[in-house]
Amino acid sequence: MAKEPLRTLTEPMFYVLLSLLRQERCGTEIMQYTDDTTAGRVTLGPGTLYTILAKFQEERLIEETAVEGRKRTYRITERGRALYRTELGRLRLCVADGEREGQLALEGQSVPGIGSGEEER
Amino acid sequence: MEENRNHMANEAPAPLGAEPREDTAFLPSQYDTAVMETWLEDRAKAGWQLRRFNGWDSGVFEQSEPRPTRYRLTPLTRKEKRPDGERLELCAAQGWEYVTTRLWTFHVWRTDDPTAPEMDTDPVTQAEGYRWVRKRMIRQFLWTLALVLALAAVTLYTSLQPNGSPLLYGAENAAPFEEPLRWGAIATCLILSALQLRGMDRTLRRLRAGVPMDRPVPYKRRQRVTALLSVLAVVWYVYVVLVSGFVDGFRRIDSDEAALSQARYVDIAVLDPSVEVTDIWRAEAKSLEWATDMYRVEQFTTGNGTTGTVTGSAYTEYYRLATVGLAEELERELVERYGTRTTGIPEFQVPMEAAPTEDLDGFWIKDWPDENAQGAVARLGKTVLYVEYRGAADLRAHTDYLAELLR
Repeated sequence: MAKEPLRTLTEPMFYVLLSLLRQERCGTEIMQYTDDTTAGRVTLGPGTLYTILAKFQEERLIEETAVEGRKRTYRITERGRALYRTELGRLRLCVADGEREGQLALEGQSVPGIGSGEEER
Repeated sequence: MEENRNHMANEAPAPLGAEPREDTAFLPSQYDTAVMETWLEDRAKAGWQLRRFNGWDSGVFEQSEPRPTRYRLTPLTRKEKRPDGERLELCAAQGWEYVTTRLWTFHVWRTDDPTAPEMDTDPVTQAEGYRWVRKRMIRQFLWTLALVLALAAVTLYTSLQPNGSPLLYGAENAAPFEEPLRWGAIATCLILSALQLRGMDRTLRRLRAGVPMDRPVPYKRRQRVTALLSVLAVVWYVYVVLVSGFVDGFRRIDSDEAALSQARYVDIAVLDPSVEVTDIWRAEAKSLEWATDMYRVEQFTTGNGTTGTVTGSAYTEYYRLATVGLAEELERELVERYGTRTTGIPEFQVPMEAAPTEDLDGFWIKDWPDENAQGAVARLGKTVLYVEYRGAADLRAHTDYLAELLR
């Protein structure tokens, strides 16, 4: 598998970056933050978290700041912040698109190229 | 899964309280994570917990109380003997115990806690974790392919050598089934590597599409195939690498009356009826897939047996080949090899000459007049012989007898 830079982020990847926006955290704290913030909707399994941390370091999206015994602490880099902003923008567009279409559906207007809700049913 | 349960029923652990026993079992797969996890979980339910891997093909299990245990395998992301401290910490905090590491492939984890979160919660990220292992798989496949190509090149080069004798070399040195075993084993390795790579790519495609890994999956048949191939690999290694290096496949038959009576060789008493006493010095037989009957027989005579002095001898090499083409090629090699064979005296270095006869498809002969000796190569259809004769008869006058031997 060739080394490929990340273009879009999965939900767990997004929350790992999000958890480091305001402060440095270690792996366990990142897991806890994600669980708290999403009220358990997004779970970071230890395998998933470890792979994400390794990939993000490789992509220089995060960097290690301290090692205390087995505990390693990470912070987000400028490159990571940029990717976070890009992803946030993409998600906003998705949400905006979804809301607009939802509104049109409520008002009973057909969507060009797709057809009316009646036809879909 | 039914077959998996049947498998477990045959592995009843020893009574609890007794000294913990160990058990070794073949892995059902080299790289298929879901198959391995299902297998390990079934073993745990049967009372066997993984302790370590034994080489490349098997796992060593320790007897325990039968219990449902979740096993998860995480691919190595670099060459390492065990997970680093951070990973151990993260997994332990979530209830996962590190078990062992399989060389160049996986770390193995387990938990008895049903509430412990899954090890991998994002299929796309999980696929990303396989990058290093997949690179190793490709490297393994390419090495096997390179080995096949190198062997093919060596075989081709040998057979194309103008003075080479690949058939004679094979007939004299190859142990039975050596070549088919060698090529079979290499082809199997190649096919297995390709299938494993294809299986891995399928899994990765699913993961990248966001589809989580399926569990449990049936594995019994795959385990049988893997075990069979592992045994075959050992047999192949022992036979081809160790045995065939020291054994040329010929067996002595000079003290075996029944086998000797079947052997084909030039009999001095037939060539020269005045000879009364003959004996066999040495007789050997061999059979290969492409040369079904081979004999090497050394016979001598003491004339009428009164003096005890050797008065004549015949050394015969006899080959029955699988095809006429092979026989023609072997005839060429024999003429080339023995055509210039000398007694050490330079003026005798003369090639064999063709001596066409109606009795044989090919007949080549040379004389050593001072030694009252002759060497001849004769072929009829798929059968070829070389004879080195010392005595009063002239082989040219006995082509009908040679033809009879070759039929």
